[in-house]
Amino acid sequence: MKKKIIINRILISIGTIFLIITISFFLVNSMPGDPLVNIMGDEEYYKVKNSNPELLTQIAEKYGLNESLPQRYFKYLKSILTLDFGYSYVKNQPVLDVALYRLKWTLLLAVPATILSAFIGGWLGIAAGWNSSGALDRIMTPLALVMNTIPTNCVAIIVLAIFAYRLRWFPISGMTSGGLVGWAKARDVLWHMALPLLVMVLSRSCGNFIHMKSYVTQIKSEEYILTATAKGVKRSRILRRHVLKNCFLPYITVLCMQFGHIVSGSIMVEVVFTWVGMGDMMNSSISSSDFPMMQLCFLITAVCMVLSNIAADVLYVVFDPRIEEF
Amino acid sequence: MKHLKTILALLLALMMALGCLAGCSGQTGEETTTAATAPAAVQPQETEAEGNHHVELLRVGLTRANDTFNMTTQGGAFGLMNYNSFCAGLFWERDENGDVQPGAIESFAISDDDRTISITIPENLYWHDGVPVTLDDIQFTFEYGRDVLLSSSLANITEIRREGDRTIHITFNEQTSAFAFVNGQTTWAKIYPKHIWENVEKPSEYTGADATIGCGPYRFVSVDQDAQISYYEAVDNYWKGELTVDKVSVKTYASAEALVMALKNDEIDAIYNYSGPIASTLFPTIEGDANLDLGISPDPGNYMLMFGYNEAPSNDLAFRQAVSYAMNYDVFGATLYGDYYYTPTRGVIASPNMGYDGSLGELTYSPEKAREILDAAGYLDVDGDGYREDPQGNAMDVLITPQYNTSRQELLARLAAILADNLAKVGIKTTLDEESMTSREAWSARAENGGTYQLYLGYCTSGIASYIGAPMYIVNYTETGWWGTWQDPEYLDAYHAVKAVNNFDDYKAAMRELQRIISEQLPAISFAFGTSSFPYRTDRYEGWINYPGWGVINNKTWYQTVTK
Repeated sequence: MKKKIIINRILISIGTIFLIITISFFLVNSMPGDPLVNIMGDEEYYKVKNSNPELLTQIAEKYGLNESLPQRYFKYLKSILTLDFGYSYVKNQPVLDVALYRLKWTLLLAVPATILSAFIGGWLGIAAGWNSSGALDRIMTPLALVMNTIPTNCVAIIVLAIFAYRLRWFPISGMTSGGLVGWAKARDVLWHMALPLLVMVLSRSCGNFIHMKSYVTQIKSEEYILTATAKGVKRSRILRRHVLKNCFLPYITVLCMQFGHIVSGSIMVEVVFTWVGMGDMMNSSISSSDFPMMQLCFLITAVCMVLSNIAADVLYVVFDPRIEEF
Repeated sequence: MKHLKTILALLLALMMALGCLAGCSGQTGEETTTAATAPAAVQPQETEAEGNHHVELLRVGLTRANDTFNMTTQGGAFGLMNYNSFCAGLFWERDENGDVQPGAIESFAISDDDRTISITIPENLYWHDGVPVTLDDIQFTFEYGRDVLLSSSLANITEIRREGDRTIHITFNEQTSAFAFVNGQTTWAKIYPKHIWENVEKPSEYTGADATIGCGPYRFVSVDQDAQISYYEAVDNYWKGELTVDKVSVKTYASAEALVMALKNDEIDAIYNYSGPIASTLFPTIEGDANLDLGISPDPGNYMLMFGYNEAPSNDLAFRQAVSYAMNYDVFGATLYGDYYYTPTRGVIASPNMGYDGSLGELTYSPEKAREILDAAGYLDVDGDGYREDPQGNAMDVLITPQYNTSRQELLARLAAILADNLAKVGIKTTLDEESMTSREAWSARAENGGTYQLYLGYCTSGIASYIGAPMYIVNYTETGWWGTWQDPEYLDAYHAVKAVNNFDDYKAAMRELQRIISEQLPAISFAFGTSSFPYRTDRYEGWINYPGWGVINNKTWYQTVTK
C-alpha cells in the first residue's frame, strides 16, 4: 500500500511540474519589457529603432522573438525534452551550462546551511521547549524572534561590514581568491563561504528554533505526556520516546519546504557576498528580460519544490505508522 | 551526547567534502584559457630589479560579471575593459581632453566632403596569435559588421577601396557623415581578425578560445569563473610603445559598496565602471585615507530635467522659466555629487565636453522670481487650495516621469522628490509617475514615440556626452529614436548643422549654437554639473591619468602607470 501511495505521489508531481512549466512559460513571456533592448543594448536599440527599424525585425527573427506564443511554447516543451534550453540573450552562452555551474555553487552554500540550521535550530528548540522559561528559552526566544524579523540582506551587510571590512578576517566577496587548485582551493572556498554560511545558518536556525520550540511546547501539554509522567516514566525517556517522535513529523515538513527553496532561498545572501549562484542569476535574468534564462530558473525552482514535497510525503509514509493511505 | 558528536563530525566532513568538490574541480571546467596558467597570487609585486618600474600586476575591480569573453560583443567585464583599448584593437580612442585619437591604427583622415574615412594601419601590428594585421582584416571588419553583426552605423557604406598595403578608404552614402561616424564609434569600434571570424555564423554565441583574440596591447590569459577574476598579460613589443603594466587582473564585485571596501582592504588597485561613478554617499569612507584617492574629475555626463512639448504646461516657455528658478541647484548638486558639484549653466552641456559654452550664465535659484513669472503668465491659485491653476483656470497636477533605469532608480526617485518639493514651494502641484519608474513597458508607453510626459528626469552618460550628448535627447524622437519631443525648426537646423560638420572647430561652433538656443528656450535643464569619482590606490603606483567621467583605468593606463 505504501508503495502505491509513493507512486501515486510521483505521478501527481510529474503533472504538477508540467503545469508549472506551462504557467511559468506564459508568465515569463507576458512580462513587460522588450528583450531586444537587452540583447542590443539601450543605445544601439534606440539608434536602430530610428534609423533602420527593419533591422529590429531581423534581430527579433534571429532570436525567435517574432514567432507566435504557441509556436514558442511548443518549441520550449521540445527544448525541455531534449535538454536544449537555448542561449542566454545577455550572456550569449547556453543557459543550461550557466545554470548547472551556478547550481553547483548554490548547493555548496545552501545544503550545509540547511542541514546545519536544521540541527542547530531543532536542538535548541527542543531544549528551550522542554524547559520552558528556562535560561535558554528566555535568551533564545526573543533573539530568534528578532533575527527572524531582520531581512537576511541586512544581517549579511552587517556581518560583511564587521568581519570582512573592519576586522578583515574574511574576504569582502566572491567564492575563491583565484589561481588556486586542489586542497588550497578547497580551504580557500571554505574561508570564502564562512560568512554567507554563517548568515544563512543564523537566519534559518532561528526560524527552525521557533518551529521546534512550538511543537515541543504543544506536545508537552498533551494528555499522553501527562499519563507517562504520572506513570513515573523518566523525563529523558518521555522526551525521546514521546515528544521527539511526534515533533519529528511536522519538523520534516518545515525542513522539506526549506529544501524546496534551496535554489531560490539564498538570493539576498548571494547578491551581498557576490556568490555567483542561482539566486544571483535569477535576479539578473529577471531584470534583463532574459527569457530563456528565466524559464530555466523557474523550471529548476519548480522541480526542487516538487521534489521536496515528494520527499516530505515519502518520509511521512516511512516514519508515520498511522499513514496507510491518503 | 555521543550521537551529537558523531552527527557534528559527519556534518563537518560533509562540508569539507563539498568544499573539496568545489576546490578539486580544478579550473572549474568553465574556464576559457588561451595560455597555460593563471597567476597564482593576487597580491601585486613590483618589478624594480631591472630599474623599469613596471607594475607586475594591476588589479582592477568592477561590477560587470566575468562571464562573456567574445570580441564581437560588449558583454561582461571583458567587453567593458575593451572600451580602454585593452585586448581589442580599437580604431579610435579618446584622450583625456576628449579628443579623438587613432587607436590601434597608425592614422586616419576624413575627406573634405565628409563621406570617406581613410585608415592607415601600422606595419608591425599583430593579432595575439601572431598573425599580422592586414587590410584584409580591416575590410573584413567593416563588411562583417555590416552584414553579419548588423551594425546600423555601417549600413550606409557604399565603397571600400584599398590603396597599397596599408591604407584603406571607407565611403558612406549621403546619409552618413564620416566625421559623425568616427565620433559616434570612438571607444567602441574594434578591428576583427578575419582568420578567426570569417567562418563563424553566430558570432555572439561563439565561445571558442580564440574569441578573445584582438590586436590591443593586452592578451587574454585565463578566467577563473569561480573567483570571478580574469587575467591578462602585456603583448611583447607592442607597436604603440612600452607597456608599463605587465599583467592585469579584473575582478567582479557585487556593488559599488563592495568595490570601495575591496579598495580600502587592498584587494584591488583601482575601480572601473563605464558611466558608473561611485555615489557621493561613499565619499566619507575614502576621504582621509592616505593610501586612497577619490579619483574626482569633472563629469561630462549629467542628470537633467526635460520638458515635454506634447503636453501643457511644459510646452509653455513661461512655465519652463519658472521651473528653472524654482529649482534649488545646491540641494540637487549635494544630492548627486556631495561637496563636489557646481551650478549648471543654461546650455545643458557640462563643462568637460567639447564645445561647452560657459558664457551662457548659471541657472539661479529664486522662488520669488518663479512666483512672479507664474503670476504674470496667468498660473494663479484661483480656488485657494495652495496650488496654482493653469491660465484657463483648470486644476493643474504636473506629472514627474523619471527614466526607467534599475541602477539609477533610487537616485532618480530622490531627484523627483526634491523637484516636487521645490515646485510645491512655488505653488505647482506634482505627482510622481511611479509606474514609469518601475515598469519598462509603462515608461516606454509614456516616453517613447512622441512622449506624453510633462517633466522627464533622465541622465546623459559620459559616453553619449562625448558626441552631441544631452542636446540629442531633446530633439524630437523622429530624428533620434530616443524620447525627445521638441520640433522647433531653429533647433532642428542647429542640430543638423552639428551632424553635418567634418572637423572639430566647426563642431565646437555648432555645439555653441545649440546651447544658445537651449539657454533661451529651456527645453531641458541640468540639475547640477558635477564630478565623477572612480577611486584608486596611491600607495604603490603613480602616473595615473584620471580621464573626466571615466577614471584612471583608461587607454593610457597601460603606458603610464609605474611603481613609485
